Amino acid sequence: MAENVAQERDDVVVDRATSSWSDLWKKEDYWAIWLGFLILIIGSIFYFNNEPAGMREKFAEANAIMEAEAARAPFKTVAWYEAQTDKERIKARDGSMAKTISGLLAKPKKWSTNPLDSLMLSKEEADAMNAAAMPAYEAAAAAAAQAKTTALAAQAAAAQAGFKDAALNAKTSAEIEEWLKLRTKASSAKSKTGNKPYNLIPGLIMLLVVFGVVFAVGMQFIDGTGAKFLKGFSFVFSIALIAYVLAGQKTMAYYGIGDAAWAIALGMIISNTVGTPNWAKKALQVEFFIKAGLVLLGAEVLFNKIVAIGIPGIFVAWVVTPVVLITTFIFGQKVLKIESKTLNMVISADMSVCGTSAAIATAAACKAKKEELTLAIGLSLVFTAVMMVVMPIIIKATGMPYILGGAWMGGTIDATGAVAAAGAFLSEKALYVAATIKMIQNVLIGVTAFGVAVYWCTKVECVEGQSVSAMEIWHRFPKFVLGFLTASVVFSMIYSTLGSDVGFTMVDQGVLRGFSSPLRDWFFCLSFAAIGLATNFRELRHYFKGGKPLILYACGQGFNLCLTLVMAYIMFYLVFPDITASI
Amino acid sequence: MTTATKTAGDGLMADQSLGRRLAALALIAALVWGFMFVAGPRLAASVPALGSLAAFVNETGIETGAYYYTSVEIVGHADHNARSTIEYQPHGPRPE
Repeated sequence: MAENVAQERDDVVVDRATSSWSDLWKKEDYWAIWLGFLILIIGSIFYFNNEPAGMREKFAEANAIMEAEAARAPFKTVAWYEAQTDKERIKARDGSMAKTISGLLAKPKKWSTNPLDSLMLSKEEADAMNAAAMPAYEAAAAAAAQAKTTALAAQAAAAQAGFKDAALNAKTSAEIEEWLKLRTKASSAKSKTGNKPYNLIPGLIMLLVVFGVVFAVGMQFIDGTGAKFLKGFSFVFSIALIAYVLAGQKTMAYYGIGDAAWAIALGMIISNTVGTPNWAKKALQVEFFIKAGLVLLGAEVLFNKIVAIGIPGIFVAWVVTPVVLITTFIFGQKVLKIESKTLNMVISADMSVCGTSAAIATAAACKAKKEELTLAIGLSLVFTAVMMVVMPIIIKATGMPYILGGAWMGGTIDATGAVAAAGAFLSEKALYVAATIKMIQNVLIGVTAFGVAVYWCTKVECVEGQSVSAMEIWHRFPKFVLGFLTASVVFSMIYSTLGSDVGFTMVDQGVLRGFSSPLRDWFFCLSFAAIGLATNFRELRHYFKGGKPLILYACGQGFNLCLTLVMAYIMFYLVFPDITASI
Repeated sequence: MTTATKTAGDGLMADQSLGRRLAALALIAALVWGFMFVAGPRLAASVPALGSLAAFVNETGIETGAYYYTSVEIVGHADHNARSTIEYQPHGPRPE
């Protein structure tokens, strides 16, 4: 979109926007769309032509068992869970070719003392790690096997009574839950015995070259600076890579500090100490990286996910969240009188929807400044780290039912990883509820980004009293949002058409997690590194003036905590207790 | 998004000597190292609630820093399980 300012009669200055056909190859919004679509098409062609052998037969077999078990008992039996696990094991990204692709797109691995372990692991080191982990796995596997025997015995006793004895049923459910917990523990222990040697360096060099060339071609069309971009890109890529390495360090996981935080922090440290080198500045294409990532993110915004846990989930995630978002934004404008509407909106969305990803989408939709995005993400990271530790403590101390606690955490903790950790820390069921609520909330990003883009075009950016025509809205509208929504609608339709089992295997565990999601992660990490490298601490201080952003976040989150808890209690315990009982 | 008025390179220490800027960078790197290998683990060891969560995160390998559901392996399974629960909701005989 090109903008110009026209001087009209009566000395009224009118901000006018225009569009032209050349925008299709000269604007980063369109380049983001073409790049995102190309990646999604390549991923789709590959995965949809490589269906796991016998997948549909295995699903039919497992579903028949689950149907029979659902009719046999008033609770989910051992056989029900085993059939479910059999279905979950079928993943399109487990094919040999898919594994090769995943290997090429792999991020640096986890490490504890030597950062080089994140990039390379020899066969001897892998074997040593596997041998060291084996005793723990054997103990965990034995405990899980024993728990399964106990659960089966309890289940047989309950079946003997025709499942009419409430005490036997409750005992069986408790034994099954204990078995699930130990089975998960055994599964985690097993994964630590399966280390294989790796060398990520060739794949990383390939990514550097491919990303560099693709974005440089885009830059050449946009403003003719492809060569300059290419010169500086290796620097931005290196910062993103180091961010991934640091995020993989063992201690960082305790505090939920991921690659986004490290990329921004590293960039800011460099730019505010030794300074960002001049030759790298042309590669700080924050918007290009972010918009390309957002178009890919669109494919992960699957609207049919919102029904995953039934109506209670929709109420907790899709009713509370918009109410909190709008209320916090109004509070910021009317009470705190935050100068920047974009800062207010980014923090409100970041806090109420789902943290970093919502902040990115909203910031791009309302054209917020990079410092505002940095501030919103920083606040989210701090609150997430605290809430991930404190909320499970509160839930345990107050004796709150874990399903309620899971819904509460899923609706309020910003980052999905932190939600999963806090939920799993309580129980398997709390994890299922927390993670599912968070996932449903993640999907709200699509609606939020679209709504914010429309609101900004029609209300915020226009001069008071000036009417805005449909064409003017079109000219001003951030076009990448259309790519984002198109990807979302197309992939939602594909997922629905395939059904939940095949959709899970081919879309969720295929095209998305096996191809587009790792690339999206890289694009966002590059954008965060670029944001950090272009951010001045003095600017950031200006935005934090009076601590208003912190007050806004804290007040909004307080309201979010109260409303989510009330709604979760009403939905899961008063209106839909049957769904809660069957979780 | 739009870029702020200050351009890249107008960093906080832009008017300082290279020596001072390098010293500041080294100091921050040392602080990061200190947090990663000394303060971070000690804090987790001294605060019981944080320690037990840390041990759990170590054990399960959950990606706590991931911000979207497709980056967290366990969320995919939770979603599929929830979906199956709705589709194959147990409805067998119950106590009267």
